[in-house]
Amino acid sequence: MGETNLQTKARIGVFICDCGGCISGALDTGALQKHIGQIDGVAYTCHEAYPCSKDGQGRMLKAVSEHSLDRILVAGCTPRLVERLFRTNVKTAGLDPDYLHMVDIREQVAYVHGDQTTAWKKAATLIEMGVARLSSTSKAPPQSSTVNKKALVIGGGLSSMTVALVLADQDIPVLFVEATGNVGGESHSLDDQTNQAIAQKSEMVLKHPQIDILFNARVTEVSGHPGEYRVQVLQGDQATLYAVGAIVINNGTQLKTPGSGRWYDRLRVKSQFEFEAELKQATDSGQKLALKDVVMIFCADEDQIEHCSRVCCNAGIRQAIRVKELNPEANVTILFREIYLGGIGEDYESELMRARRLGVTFFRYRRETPPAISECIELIDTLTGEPVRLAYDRVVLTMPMVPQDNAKTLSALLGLPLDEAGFLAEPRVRLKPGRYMQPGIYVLGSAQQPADSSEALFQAFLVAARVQRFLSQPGISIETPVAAIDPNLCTGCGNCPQVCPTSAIKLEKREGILSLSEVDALKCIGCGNCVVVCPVKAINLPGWDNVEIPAQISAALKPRQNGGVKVIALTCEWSAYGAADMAGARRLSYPSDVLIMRMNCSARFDPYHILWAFLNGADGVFLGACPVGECHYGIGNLYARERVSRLRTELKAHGIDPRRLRLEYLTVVDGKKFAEGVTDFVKELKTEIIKK
Amino acid sequence: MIHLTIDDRPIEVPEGRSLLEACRENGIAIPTLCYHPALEPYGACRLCVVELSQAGRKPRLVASCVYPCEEGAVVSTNSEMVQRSRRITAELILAGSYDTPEVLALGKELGVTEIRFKLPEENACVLCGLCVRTCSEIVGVSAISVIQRGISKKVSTPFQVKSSRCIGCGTCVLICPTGAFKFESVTGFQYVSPSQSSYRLGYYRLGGELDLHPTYEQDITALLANPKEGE
Repeated sequence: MGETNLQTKARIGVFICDCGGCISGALDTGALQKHIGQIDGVAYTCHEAYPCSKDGQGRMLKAVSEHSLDRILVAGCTPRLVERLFRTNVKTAGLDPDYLHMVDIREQVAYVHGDQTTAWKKAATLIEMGVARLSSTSKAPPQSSTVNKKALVIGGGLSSMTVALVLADQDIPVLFVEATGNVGGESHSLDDQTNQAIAQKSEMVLKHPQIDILFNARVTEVSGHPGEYRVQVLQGDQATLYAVGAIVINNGTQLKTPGSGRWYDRLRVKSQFEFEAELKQATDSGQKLALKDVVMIFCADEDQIEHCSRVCCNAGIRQAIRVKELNPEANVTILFREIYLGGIGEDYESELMRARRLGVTFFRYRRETPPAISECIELIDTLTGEPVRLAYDRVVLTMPMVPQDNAKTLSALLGLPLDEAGFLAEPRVRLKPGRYMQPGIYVLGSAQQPADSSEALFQAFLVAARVQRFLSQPGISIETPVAAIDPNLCTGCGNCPQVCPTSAIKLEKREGILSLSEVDALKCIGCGNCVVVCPVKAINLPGWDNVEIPAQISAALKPRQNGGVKVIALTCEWSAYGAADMAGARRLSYPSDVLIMRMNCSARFDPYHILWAFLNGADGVFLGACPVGECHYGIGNLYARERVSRLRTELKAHGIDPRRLRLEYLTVVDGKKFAEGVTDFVKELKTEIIKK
Repeated sequence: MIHLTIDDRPIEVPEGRSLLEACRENGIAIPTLCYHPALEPYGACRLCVVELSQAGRKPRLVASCVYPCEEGAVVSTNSEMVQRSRRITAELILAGSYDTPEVLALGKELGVTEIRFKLPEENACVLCGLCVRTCSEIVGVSAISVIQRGISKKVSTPFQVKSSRCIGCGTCVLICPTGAFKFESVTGFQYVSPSQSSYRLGYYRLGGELDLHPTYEQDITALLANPKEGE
């Protein structure tokens, strides 16, 4: 619940910015200061050239302590540029940043209204509205969550074992969920050094007292928020619930199976895996390899997948060497698109050179002209541009690594995006490597793209460090307003969980039959959709509540003798409010009758507030929302559209012209459209609707 | 407190102020293009140069937005040397932006009568870097940056592809002093994918990241496919 401050009267400080003449040139800020000073609740006023400068900020701090102010109103330029600055300063002053309100008298007044008196009047009204809102606003209580110092590692490859070991060595309990019956992942023809590392790590993981391994298990459900995840693990038929703080995913990759179009018969044409088994058999039996012409095709996928699988070139070259060792007379040819050599150690290039010294032939082909397999292999050599025909008695197809089958499930379970190839994508690999969508979820190893062992290890240490840092913090807290439900008022109707875009609201059974809604504060993004749909108004969203918004509307509609129409514009801060800023920045004039109110999302356009405006004498209400499909909170604008269309019917039934309510879709840079839209609206109101 | 003389006026300022801040605080106007009080000074446009005289040194030009106030400094904000420098700077800025009204007005104010050097292509962007700094310092996203060197220097997204980091707030367009910024060329903001958009929003609001529930995406995809006809 917001801490309403109705008993003690608010002491508001109003700081009017001259903006070095930009504002004071268009209206008399001195007179404005005097006028505002007379409003009830305003304890201090000033106007100065640059309140945003270091000295201005210092003076603000001084004024707060000298006049014991508890709320700050800054009337100046757009909050989008300086709100952050003032919020920091207000915090420095020891006040809650939620008690800062910004009124834009530059972009919305000084830049767009040429006439001094008009501009002055509008600025005064806007500041009065701001004061009304600020005096009735409530503070958002701090929301915080504890961090459960336990990590869940899904998948048992080299990198996940490394992460688990690093964490466990730091006394962080690790829950290790492995889909198969053993740790180590699949060794895709890996080299000895890597296999050795895997064996070593597996042994350590199995022995470690802090690592709890669940074999043949899979994660079926994840709920909660960063720091406090609840994970359901299914092991056999038994489902167990575990509480963890962070989740590390490495579900690995799998080899793609060659399609039938490539003469893949598993006898003459084999996959790299199958060929490895054949070589092993030959080695074990000690016989000479009875193969004369071996052709290896790298990147042999028919679809010519874009990504590099990292490990197959190494494996292929090693196999070529092996063939040459077993049968020096065999002709080994490698057809490649590009060669990538990497992994633990640095001797991969020397492996390639060794293969060449042993007489392995390399041909490069282009993606556009892949080698055709029939009774012989045909390709175009890129060095000569000539077609080459190769006879074969064994073709080895090196297939790319593709995502595991469960990547899609995990993506749905944890809300992670998939990239084009179907791997769990890391959106900011270059800018913030190692960090994932949610602070508590980390993806590593081949789960995000095929990785060779050195890359996987590097990533593992990086992720381990991040997980450690995340789990070591005492708690996570957020300052932005989130919805809170009053349990005394909630009737459990179930409206709010339906409209919540983040599923932050859950309906929970309590005390027998009665259900109550509960908000997960860390999931709430503060769109206010639930506040609108709550029939008993049990939900509060501090800052955008049912107290301050009507108060602001009432202040805007106070009787004045300016003769014009009264238009309230409720604007979403991500679209129409920005468009109004743009209109100001480009000096596009529009009628001064339009009083703009900043809302968080069009989902918060409450029909009750619109009705309140009409009942208090508004001539028109202009709503500005994001275009359909462009809402920053999901589909707030679609809700607004539906509510407006229903409200219009209601208005008509009660004798109010529905044209007095207009909804327009604007993007954040549509300054011109905004100016034209409101001008047209006011013109229509004046000429057609309000016939005076 | 530091004592210095600006335009023959004795001025006292707290330590750590730049010359520009001291001038503005005392009502002395200095033209700027790349300065914004909410952002760290950048010193890119060089229009704010002032003449600084210190004991034992020849008078020299310094960019007032990044130069700190020093004890005993004598500053002249409108001397012949300063005016000449600003005129040349403005003319050089105009060399690329000769059709941009905002820059033309600035040039006129600073006394540029003719533009002697004109680049073959007009470009309203004067590389003041306000958009880049806004994106990183105010919005906290860093979806854009200045790329390349010399005459090919420009503002762009990483790898010059539309940025998926952009949260579509439009602050860069708002702050651009010449209206050069093309929003469409930068934002790769995927409006239709609510899980991504709200994750960005979460990032912006929380300073961390939070994500939408995946089932919601299916709901909205269905809704967007069959939008209810409202009006």
